[in-house]
Amino acid sequence: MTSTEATETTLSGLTFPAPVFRQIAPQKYLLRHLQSTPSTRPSSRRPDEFRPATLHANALSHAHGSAVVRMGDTAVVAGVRGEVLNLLHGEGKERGAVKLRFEEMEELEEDDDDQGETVRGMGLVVPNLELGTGCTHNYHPGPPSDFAQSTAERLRSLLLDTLHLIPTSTLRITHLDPATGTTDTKAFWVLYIDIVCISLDGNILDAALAATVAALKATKLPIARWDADKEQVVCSRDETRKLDISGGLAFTASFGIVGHKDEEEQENGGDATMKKWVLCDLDEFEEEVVTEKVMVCIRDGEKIAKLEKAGGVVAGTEEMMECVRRAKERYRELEKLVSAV
Amino acid sequence: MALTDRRRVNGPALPTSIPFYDTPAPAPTVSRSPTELRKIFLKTSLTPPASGSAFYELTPPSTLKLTTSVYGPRPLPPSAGFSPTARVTAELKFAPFSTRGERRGYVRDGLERELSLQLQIAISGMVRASAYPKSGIDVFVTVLDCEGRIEEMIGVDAAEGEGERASLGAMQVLTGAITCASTAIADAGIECVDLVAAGMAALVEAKDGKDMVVMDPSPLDGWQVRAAVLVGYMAARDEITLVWSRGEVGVEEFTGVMESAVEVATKVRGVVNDAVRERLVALLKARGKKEGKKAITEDVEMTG
Repeated sequence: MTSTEATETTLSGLTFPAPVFRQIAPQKYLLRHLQSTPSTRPSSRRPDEFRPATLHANALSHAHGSAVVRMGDTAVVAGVRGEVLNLLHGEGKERGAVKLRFEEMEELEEDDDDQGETVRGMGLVVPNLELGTGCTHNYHPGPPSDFAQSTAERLRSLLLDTLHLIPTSTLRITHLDPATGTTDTKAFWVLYIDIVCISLDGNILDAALAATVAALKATKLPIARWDADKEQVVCSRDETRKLDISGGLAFTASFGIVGHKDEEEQENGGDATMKKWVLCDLDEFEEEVVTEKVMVCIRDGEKIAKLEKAGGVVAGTEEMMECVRRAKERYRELEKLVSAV
Repeated sequence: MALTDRRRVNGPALPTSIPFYDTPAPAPTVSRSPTELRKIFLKTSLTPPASGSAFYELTPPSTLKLTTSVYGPRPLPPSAGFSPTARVTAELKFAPFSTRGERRGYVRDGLERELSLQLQIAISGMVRASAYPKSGIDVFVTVLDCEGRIEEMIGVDAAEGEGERASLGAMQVLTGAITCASTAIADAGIECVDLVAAGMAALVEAKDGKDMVVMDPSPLDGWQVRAAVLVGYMAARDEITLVWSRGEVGVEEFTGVMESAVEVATKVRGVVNDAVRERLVALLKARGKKEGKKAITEDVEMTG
C-alpha cells in the first residue's frame, strides 16, 4: 500500500467489506440492516416474513408415514414407523411377572380420555431428533449435542405433554372374545417418530414439528387383529388405515425480538423511545445474535397451545400480541399445506 | 439394546416387534433386461450450509435415496496431529426409518462402520490431497431409504442362509454413496484429479441353470444372485479405486463381472458430470449477472 492510499483510508474512516463487518460486529450488522428503509434483514427478508415452506409426504418406502419439510435452507425428514407392543406374554396378564409390570399401566390403558396419560406413561410415541448428519458445520455424527437433546426434549414435551395429538384409542389393538363377548386390549401400536435434519439454517423446531405433524397425518398403519391361535398380532398386508389425529393440527412459530435505543439522540434531547423489531423465523446467523426469543404454538381452532419467551427485556405486551398474530397467520399457511396430505 | 441411551427418547420398557403380516411379501419380479441401467436422479447443493452437497435417488420403482454433505477443506483439530496432506474422512449413517424390517438404532453399528470405511477408501483417491496440507475433508452420507433388505445373504445357497452376510441391498447403498459423495466433493470446489463413479454387476443363475452377468442388479429384481462385484472407477484416468466382491465366483468369470461393473460405472460417470456441470453453469450465470451491474459497492462504512 502506498502512502497516499494510507492517508485516504484514515480520512474516510475505517471501511470493511460486508462479510467482515458481519464477522466482527454481528449485532451492529443486524441492526444496521433493520434500520435501513425499508427494514430488511441480512437474508433480504422483511422482518415479518417467514421463509416459504414446502412439503413432500410419503416419499419414503419403508416408513408407515413420512414427510419432508423445507423452510428456506432448513430441511428435515420425518419418518413414522409403527411397531407392536404386546401386552400378553404366554398365558397372559394373569401371569405374575407380567401382571406386576403392568399393574399401574392397566389402570391407564382402559381409559381413552386421559389427556394422553397412557401414551406418555407407556411410551407409545417415541420422537427423536437427529442433527448429526452433516446438516451444518456445528454438529458431528455421534452422540447428540446439548442443543440437539434440548430441542428433542422440547419437541417431545410439545407432542406428548401439551398437544396430545395422538389419542390412545387409535393405537389400541383390541380383540372381541367370542366366548365372553368382551373386548380386550391385546396390544398397542408404538409410533417411532424419527426426525432427521438434512440441512440446518436456523429454526429447527418449527420445521421439525411441521414435519412430524405432516408425517403423522400421512401415516397409514396396517389393519391389525389379534390371532388367538398364534397368540400374536397379525397385520394385513393390503389393508391400511389412517391414524386418527383427533388432537387436530398444531404448528409452532418462532420469533426474535430486537430493540434499539438511540443514545445519541437521547443526549441531544430528541426522541428517546426504543425502536423494536419482531423478526419471524430466524436463520442461523440471527439465532446466534438475537437473545430475546419467543415461540408460539397454535393448535386447531387457532388456540394458543403454548407460548415461550426467553431472554431479553425488550418485548412488551404489544410485541407479544404481534407474535401471536403472526403465529396465527403462519398456522393458517402450514395448515393449508398439511391438510392437502 | 443392553444399555439404554440416556440422550435419546427410548420408548416402552418392554420390547416392541415389527408388524407380522398375514401373507408373505410378494416375490420380486424381473422387469429389466440384464443390460438396462436404472435412471439416477442426482442434484447438487441441496444442503446450503455445507461446502458441497448432493442428493442421490434412483427413480421408482427403485427406492434408494441418500444425501451427502461435504465440509472442508478445513483446519484439522489440534488433537488430530500433523498431516502433510488432506485427510479425507467419510461417515455413512442409515436413518432409523430407512430399512425394511427392524428399525435401525442411532448408535453406529458394524455395517455402518464397514460401509464408511469402504466409502472413504473409494473417494480419497480422487482428491488432490497434497494441495491441502493440515486440512480435513469430511464427508457425511445419510441414507434415507434403502432398497430391499440390507441384511440378506448373497451366494450359492442364499435361500438356506448359507451365503455371505452382505447383500445386494448393502452393496447398492455403497454404490450410491460413492457416486453421491464424489459429486458432493466436486460441488464443494475441492481440487480433484478425477471423479469417482461406482458401478455394480452380478453373476446370477439364469432360468436355464447357466450363469449370466447382470448389470446394475437390484434386490427387487429377484435374481438368484451368486456373486456381486462393485467398483469405484475414475473414468478419465481409467483407474479403479475400490473393488468389492461378495459371493463365490471363479477367477475367469470374475474378470467378466468386473468389466461389466466398470462399464456401469462409466455410464454413471455421465450422470455425475451432468450434475456437476448443471451447478457450474448456474454459478457462472449468476456471476455474469453480478458483473453486469458494477455499480454495487460491497464495502459498508463502519460507524458508531
